[in-house]
Amino acid sequence: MSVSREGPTPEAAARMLADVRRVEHRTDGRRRSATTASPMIAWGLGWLLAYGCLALVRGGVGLAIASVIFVVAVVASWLGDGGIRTGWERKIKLAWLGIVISSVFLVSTVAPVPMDRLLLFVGALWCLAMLLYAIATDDRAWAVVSATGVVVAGVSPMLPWSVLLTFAIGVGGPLLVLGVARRAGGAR
Amino acid sequence: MKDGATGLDDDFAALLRIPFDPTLTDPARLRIQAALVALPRSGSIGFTALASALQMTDGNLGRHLSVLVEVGYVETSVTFRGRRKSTWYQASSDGRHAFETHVAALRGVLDAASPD
Repeated sequence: MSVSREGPTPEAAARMLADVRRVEHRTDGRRRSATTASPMIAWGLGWLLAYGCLALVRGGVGLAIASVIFVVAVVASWLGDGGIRTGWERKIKLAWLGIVISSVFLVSTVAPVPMDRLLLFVGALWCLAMLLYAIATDDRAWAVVSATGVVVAGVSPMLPWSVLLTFAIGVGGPLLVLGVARRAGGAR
Repeated sequence: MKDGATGLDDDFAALLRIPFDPTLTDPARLRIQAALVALPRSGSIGFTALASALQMTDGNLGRHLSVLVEVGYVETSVTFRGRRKSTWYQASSDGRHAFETHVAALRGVLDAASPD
């Protein structure tokens, strides 16, 4: 017995479903670009400059400059919305505030240790926070970059050259590259 | 099990009974709804970003969006940054359900054409 129904032909249905998948994929890409490209660029630059500064300018001056760079990076990462909102923005800001405030107390639990190790410890903690966010949002590229940051933090003390400079380049570089790539991809 | 009226498997007969949504039968509106459903449930998108993602003209997008808003598939909210007004679009629960049902009906057509 035949079943009649109103609707498109199988060919038209296949075309519509393929179009739906394309639109979903493109929107998801735009969403990732809009919500993560600016923070990645800000954080990547901030990481490179702040940790680079801490490696090259020792003492309180280096710490003061790095703190300013850090604050600028945080503010810059929250500036643009890119025309797409996830609805989690406020929660993410609160979570980062919690991480930054917690960092102060976590540092005091391991003190006293050399300043380089403390800064590395804090950086690794922030990379871990990024990793958890990336896993929660199914963002594989960011997860890889964040996990690499944690590994670099663990490995860099064993290397013969500057620990902080290694960390600056090892984390800031990939973050910046990923952010720029997403910005370029989202603009297409 | 066989469906008494059609002689088809129950699951297959049920698939064929899924109705098409008259609003989403229009391909442009289906694409708009697909873009909105692809966002997180709490997510929303601005008009310009949506037009860019769908590569639709402002007039065409605006016309179809107003239909989707009218039937309750799309919700809007307005924000101000300084004097700049932004309108945000978000798929409603009804809109998500209608979209999933319509896509299931389209899959049903494909499955009916190649039941194996």
